[in-house]
Amino acid sequence: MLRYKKIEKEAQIGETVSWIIATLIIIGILIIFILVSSLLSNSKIVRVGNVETDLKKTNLLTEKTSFAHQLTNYKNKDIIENVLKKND
Amino acid sequence: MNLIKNKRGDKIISVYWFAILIIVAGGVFGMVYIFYGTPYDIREIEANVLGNQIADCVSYAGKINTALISNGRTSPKIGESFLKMCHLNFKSDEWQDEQYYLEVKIYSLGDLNNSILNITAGDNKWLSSCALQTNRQIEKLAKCIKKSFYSIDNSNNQYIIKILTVVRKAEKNVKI
Repeated sequence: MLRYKKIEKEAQIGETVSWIIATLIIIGILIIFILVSSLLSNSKIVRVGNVETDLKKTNLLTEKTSFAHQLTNYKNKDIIENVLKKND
Repeated sequence: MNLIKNKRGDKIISVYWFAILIIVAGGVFGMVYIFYGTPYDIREIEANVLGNQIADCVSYAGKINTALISNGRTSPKIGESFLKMCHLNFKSDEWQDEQYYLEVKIYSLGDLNNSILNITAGDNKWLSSCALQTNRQIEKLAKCIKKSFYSIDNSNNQYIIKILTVVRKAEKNVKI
């Protein structure tokens, strides 16, 4: 009878420990998912480089500059390109 | 006696399941709130679009707008009507203060230190955000975009045009 009681107690302890571990795993997974969603929410910054827009496809200002170069037969082209590079 | 013990165990297990259910539901709510509670920050694109609109207004097909510079002479009163000329309106019912600022500086190729024409519009208090963000972007401050290009006037005088656009609108683009 005593031996039977001891086995029953050990079984109860084993079951309780497995429930506690299961709970900790569930909470751990939840924390990981919350952290991932927090990281994903930080990446909600829309940048020109990340989005396929007209802004990326054609650089309007480069077009304007090259139009002006053509109109002046590329006079002072190197100086102008250096100045524009410095500004960028 | 054993039957009473088993029933008590079942009750504890069902309370435990409810607790787990609440924790999981709370976790899912937290994830959705964190992700969807953060707005998309489109200010950089907005500042780029504004910069392009100004560039189109200042110079078209390589030639400077004659309302700004004609035969090497600058128009003195352009500052006041620049926004109207470029079809821009910085006033909005949504905001008490203007959320934009723009600066256009035109330099003659011969003197790149002193601008021959300086146009500003909008609220210049957002300009301080640009100085603070030279090394590192700070999300809660206004976004600044600098652009520069080359153009000529109708007498073929050469100019470098620098455009600075600032967009604030932090409340709608950043979680504060």
